[in-house]
Amino acid sequence: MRSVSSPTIESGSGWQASQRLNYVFEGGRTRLRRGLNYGPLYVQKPFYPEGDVCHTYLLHPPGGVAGGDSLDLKVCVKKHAHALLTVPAATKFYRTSGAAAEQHQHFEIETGGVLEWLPMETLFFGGTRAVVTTDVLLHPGAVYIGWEICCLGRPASADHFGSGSVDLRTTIRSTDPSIDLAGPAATILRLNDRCHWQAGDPILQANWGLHGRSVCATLYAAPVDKDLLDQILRAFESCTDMSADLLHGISAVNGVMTARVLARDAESANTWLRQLWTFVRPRMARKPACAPRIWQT
Amino acid sequence: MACRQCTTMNTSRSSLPDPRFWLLVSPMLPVGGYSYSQGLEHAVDCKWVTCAAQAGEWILGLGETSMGRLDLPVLRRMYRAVQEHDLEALRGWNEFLLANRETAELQAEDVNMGKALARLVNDLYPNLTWPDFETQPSFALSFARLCVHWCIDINSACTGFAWIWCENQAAAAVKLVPLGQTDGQRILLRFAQIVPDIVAASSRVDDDAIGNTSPGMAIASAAHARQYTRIFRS
Repeated sequence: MRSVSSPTIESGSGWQASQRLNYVFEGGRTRLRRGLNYGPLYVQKPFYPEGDVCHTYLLHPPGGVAGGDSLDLKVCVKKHAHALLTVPAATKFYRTSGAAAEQHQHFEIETGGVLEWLPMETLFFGGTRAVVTTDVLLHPGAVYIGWEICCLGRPASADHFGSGSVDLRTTIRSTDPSIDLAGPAATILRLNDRCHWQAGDPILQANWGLHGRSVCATLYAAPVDKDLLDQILRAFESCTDMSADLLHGISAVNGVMTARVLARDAESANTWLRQLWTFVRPRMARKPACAPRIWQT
Repeated sequence: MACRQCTTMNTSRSSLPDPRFWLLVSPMLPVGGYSYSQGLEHAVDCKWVTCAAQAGEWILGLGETSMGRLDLPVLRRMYRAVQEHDLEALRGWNEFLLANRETAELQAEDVNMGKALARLVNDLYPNLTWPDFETQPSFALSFARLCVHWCIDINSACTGFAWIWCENQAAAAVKLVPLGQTDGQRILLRFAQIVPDIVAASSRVDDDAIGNTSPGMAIASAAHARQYTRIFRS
């Protein structure tokens, strides 16, 4: 296999960027209160295409994450606020010869709040060392719908992820209403989804693993009860036909729905996830699907 | 730690493990592990697994990653927590393990086996008091309790745990693919060769690194719950 001519990008001690966003419900709509920010991680002026829900675009001007970089996003959706957060361009994790590149997301959703985290795909270049974590904390009556679309290598550019590693974690916790004390001990871990993808590891090709697909996407939604899950399953019958280009499976554990997709390109995974989101949003957040404007471009 | 039972039952007459170890890994252990296929039934149904070689790849691959990165590292921590009577840690690891199950079917299997083994422990040893968080015990939790009670060392416990899993998978493959009995034995023999490495690797996993999702198996297990006809439980 010919070697991939993607430059190794190093940035010395790395870009450290952090953004804290708070969403509050005030005067009939959700308002964005920017918190602490440093480094190149910004949000544009929010959009209100549906009147009350705050649509926010998160921007990372360097355009990619290199070894030593660290992006840190903390979002708190206060009581009864509703935020839809997207990243308008694919996030790229470049090849590195040194330190890992990290991206950490912490989402807290208070009672009656809704957070939708619907970023474009993340491209992991061959040779990257990436650590990406998403930790969600739900208070009683809070709703979370979020997805991650991960692309290993760039097959169209002959980058078949011949080296590198990707370490992904998504956790969903909820506060335990039966315990009055605040603090970490008073939460219940509902989901811990952990992926270790190392170049050359059998998991990338095996039928039990990524099935030789370069795109692995997952939509998480909570809370999902049995009735809703049945509706979703009827509408999106699990399909694992070997000839199908898209493999997907939906299940719910501890009230958290997990919909997994294995695809050959980000576009088809994206299309499927948007269809699923269009179906679940009215049922979970009592709002008809209203796609962020950037999706139409 | 000195144990009155062990001095009578596990004398150093041979290098064989405590005879009670064979109870643990026997298919007679009444936990029903043989009734689950963990996605393998659907994988066969949709022709992901069609022959002995593919069945071996499926089972050994999952054994290495799933057992090595999730089940055994958690079993080790539960075993220690039982030894130290650290109920808070035990509850935490039990919650963690169940939160790692990729589908409802896989979690239900784990809890059903955990409950069945807990019932056996309670019937055999009614005086062994245990707190009530056992309403959702994972299989590893009940297994850790019994291993500690029988003074089975941690590496034997891990080997036995992985062996039970592999034997159930191999038996399922023999029925489903179907395979000849010799093919089933070949899969077990290959697993026997790699299991010491899996057990050793499981001792080197940091808390932060524990966990493993196998997307293809998860998709097969999710589809299995909706499969029209099934031999194995969902």
